[in-house]
Amino acid sequence: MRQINSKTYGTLELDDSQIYKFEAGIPGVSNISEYAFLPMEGTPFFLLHALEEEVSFFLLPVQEAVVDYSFQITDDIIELLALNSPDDVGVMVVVNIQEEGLYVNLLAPVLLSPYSHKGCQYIIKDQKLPVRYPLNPEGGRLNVGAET
Amino acid sequence: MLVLRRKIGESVVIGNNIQVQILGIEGDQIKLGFVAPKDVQVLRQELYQEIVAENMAAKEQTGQLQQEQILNLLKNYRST
Repeated sequence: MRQINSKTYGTLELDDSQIYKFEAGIPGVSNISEYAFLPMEGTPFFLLHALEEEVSFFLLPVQEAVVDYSFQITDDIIELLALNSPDDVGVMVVVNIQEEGLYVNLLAPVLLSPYSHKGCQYIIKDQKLPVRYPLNPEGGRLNVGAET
Repeated sequence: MLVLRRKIGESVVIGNNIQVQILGIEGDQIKLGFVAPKDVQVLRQELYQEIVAENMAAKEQTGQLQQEQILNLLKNYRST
């Protein structure tokens, strides 16, 4: 068992299986390479909290946010995350909480491999996707495909 | 800033393992090829800056809000 003493969330307890290594870092905080990935009870959201610093993000599994979302991952990513198959990866979107509601970044999903415990934020280069996409206030899933 | 003149086909090496090759010139555009390790992302600067800005916004919101407010917001997402 390890602990993070977070100013915002208090003491977070985690075990090693909840630690993910972001070798390439996350743009903007690329000095940080180790994060804890923790479920937020009673919600479909997860907390990605840096182990050594007061830096955290909310993540939402992309299938909870939108439908018809797909992109190609490159061989580089397969290698970086040490994936055995492209299906071995969890796709999460970064949640941005604004006063008027919740938004997700569809252009740069966070990819997590539960097997190698590696992660990265992958920037989709070949599609025009919004970095700030509103989550449906009704709680339903949105259809990205219908809008493009 | 280091300034180098290169011809088409020639390369520049950055550090031990990043190579940038001039592939061609088309009008006012220069075509570059990159060879870099897997953990080095090569991106257009505008795109990179956009992602940095959105990450900072996502990070700061979570820093400003109280845990209780956040939890309520996130719990309501599913229950509605």
